[in-house]
Amino acid sequence: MALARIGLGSNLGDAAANVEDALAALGSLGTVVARSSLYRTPAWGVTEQPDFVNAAALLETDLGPFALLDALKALEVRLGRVESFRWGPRDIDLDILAYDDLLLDEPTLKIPHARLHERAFALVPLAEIDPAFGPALAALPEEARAAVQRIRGPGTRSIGAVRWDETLERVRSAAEFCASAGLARFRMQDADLEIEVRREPRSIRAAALPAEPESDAALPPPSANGASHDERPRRVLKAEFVGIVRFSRPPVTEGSEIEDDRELAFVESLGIRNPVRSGGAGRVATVFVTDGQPVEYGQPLFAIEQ
Amino acid sequence: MFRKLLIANRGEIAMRVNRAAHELGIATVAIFSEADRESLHVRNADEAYCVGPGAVARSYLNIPNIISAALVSGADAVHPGYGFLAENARFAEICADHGLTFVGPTPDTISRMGDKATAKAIMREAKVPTTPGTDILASVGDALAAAKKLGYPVMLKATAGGGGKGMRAVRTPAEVEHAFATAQAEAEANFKDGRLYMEKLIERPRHVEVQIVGDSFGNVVHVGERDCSVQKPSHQKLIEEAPAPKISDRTRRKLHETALAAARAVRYQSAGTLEFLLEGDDVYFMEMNTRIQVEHPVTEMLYGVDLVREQIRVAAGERLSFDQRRLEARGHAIECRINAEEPTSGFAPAAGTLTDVALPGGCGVRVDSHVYAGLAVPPFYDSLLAKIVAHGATRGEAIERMAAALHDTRIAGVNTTLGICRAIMADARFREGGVAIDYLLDFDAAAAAAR
Repeated sequence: MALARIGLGSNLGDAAANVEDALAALGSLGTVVARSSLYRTPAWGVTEQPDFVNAAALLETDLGPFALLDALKALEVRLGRVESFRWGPRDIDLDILAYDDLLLDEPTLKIPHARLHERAFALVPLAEIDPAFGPALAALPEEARAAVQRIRGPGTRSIGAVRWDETLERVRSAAEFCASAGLARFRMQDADLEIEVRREPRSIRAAALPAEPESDAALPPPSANGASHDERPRRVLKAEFVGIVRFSRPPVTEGSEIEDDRELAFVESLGIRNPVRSGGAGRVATVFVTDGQPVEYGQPLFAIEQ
Repeated sequence: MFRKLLIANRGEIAMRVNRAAHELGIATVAIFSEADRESLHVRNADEAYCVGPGAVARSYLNIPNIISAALVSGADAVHPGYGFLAENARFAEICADHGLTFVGPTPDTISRMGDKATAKAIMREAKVPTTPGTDILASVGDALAAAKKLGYPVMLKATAGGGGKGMRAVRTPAEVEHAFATAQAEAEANFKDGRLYMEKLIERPRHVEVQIVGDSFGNVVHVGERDCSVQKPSHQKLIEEAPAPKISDRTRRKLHETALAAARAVRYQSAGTLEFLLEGDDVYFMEMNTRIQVEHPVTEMLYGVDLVREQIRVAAGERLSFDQRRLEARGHAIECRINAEEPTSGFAPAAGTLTDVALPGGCGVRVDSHVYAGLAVPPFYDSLLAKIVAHGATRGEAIERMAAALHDTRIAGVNTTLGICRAIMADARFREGGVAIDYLLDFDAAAAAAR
């Protein structure tokens, strides 16, 4: 297990979001034990370029330095491609700034990073989470340091009493992170504050839909004369497999008329497509799920009126 | 350490694993069948996925849906609990194929020790004493020949078996054919593996087992023995205690050392149990359970360790947090299994809705249970409702504490083993200690209670 210091930077698209996504994705290479705030630095040289957003992370990893380099390059490609659906300039740059106390001077990899000592945009975030780089940062000219401005992030550290707005902001970002990373519990702690966020434990079906379509309580009581508002027979198509539901093309919505038996969606489970068919003609009365969401066994997907 | 653990089980053991995971800071994913939607194990986990209808084969044994739930939820490890998929080497392999750590020994260890005939061969090689027996029997003819060679009475056993299922005692040649067919059918139905082997039946042994834990660094410790001789006629355990009463220090040491030798022989890397038959000072290896066992709390109370937590830690590649010298048994612990069963009609399982539940507590009492008043006990699963464990400075104190705890316990709505457990605590033979596994065969609960 080694401790790598990773520098992150982006100046394309929503640069702050790119850096946040990359920070979250670093977790696939090890354990992110600390992450810095986000910092904005004006691009220098070509002044038409948008500002850079930078951050740093401490990554505990089992990967050796070269394997880590390869993994970071692969991550750059993956994030660039997934986020923008195109090839071209990468949206994110990931660099190994340092790796334990390793000194490495190879053609493909120099550790510590060759220009670390002259890059304020790398040193400012790094020094925030690793005090060992404080002296290197202090050696930079004041104007270079001042150009790097903190914009936001859970790396926030206030001196003295914790202010309420700042605390609430931190709780909010913890809750957002918890939801976006799919975590049920998330705890963060620094010298003066400990925040734990827990999401309501529930079956995923409860999250999908407030009303269970087949529970008796959800049905309107039969009226006295026996006539009900809607006597068209209704069939609920349910998931037979645990997996991800994907809508077939063209996707149906509520109100779609179906002329014949067709595939409405499939549940992708362990790489296998398990089709969900309408079983005949009808009208889609209810769509209980959204494209791409996880579903459990027996979860209602569509209600069809014949 | 793991980030998220899927618990592929139900009931009290799912809750037990859930607690251990939360203590370690690991998020949890429950799975459940449609019959278990209202179960506490679903509510206490951080996430839960329904994996199938009530029938076990379509839910708790539904490997594709369980693996898919692990992948969809982003789990990185799977704890199988006991029963169900706990000793299914194929499941452990499939977990590994999908990048999920199986919390248990390696698939190879599971398959070698899970196959009882193979396990015995390995143990014989490691100089661990075993009961005289056969390899897998191909036919009734083979069984007849083997029984003649071993000498009646003999025991037919399912090689994939456990919990007393697929086991038949045979006393005369005339019984062989019927016993073979029914044991095979039972094993086929329960374990999808009908292969049988035969052993010489030791008539009045005690069932004593040794808890072991190993890590991936080659450290193996024993955590003492448990006496599980109070068994139902089906050979399912009802009451367990530790330490085993009335055995000599020499025999106790022999048990521990034999278990350690056996565990080392297979380089065991998880929590596991070696079961032995004890007759006088003779110790025979019976089988190894490559899982956490129902009765593990007895050992936890006696030694003050958390076996499930340890099991998760070593699966995550960490070292055992204790060595042999730090393990010290203190006092005596007893467990009673409160099952939804009718003791007076052969412990037939009972299903129904629990109308009243009051569980005991107090000094030295531990309860592992998933039940509450209003819970509908489904007919599909194991009948265990609660495990009550009492710890005392001496065996006598533990028995008194258990008697008091059982007195405080109330479960209404289904028939339970509560009454017979109370009667056993009052029974002179049990209180004397050292009963054999036939103890309950002629047990008269009413008479014992009257005394």
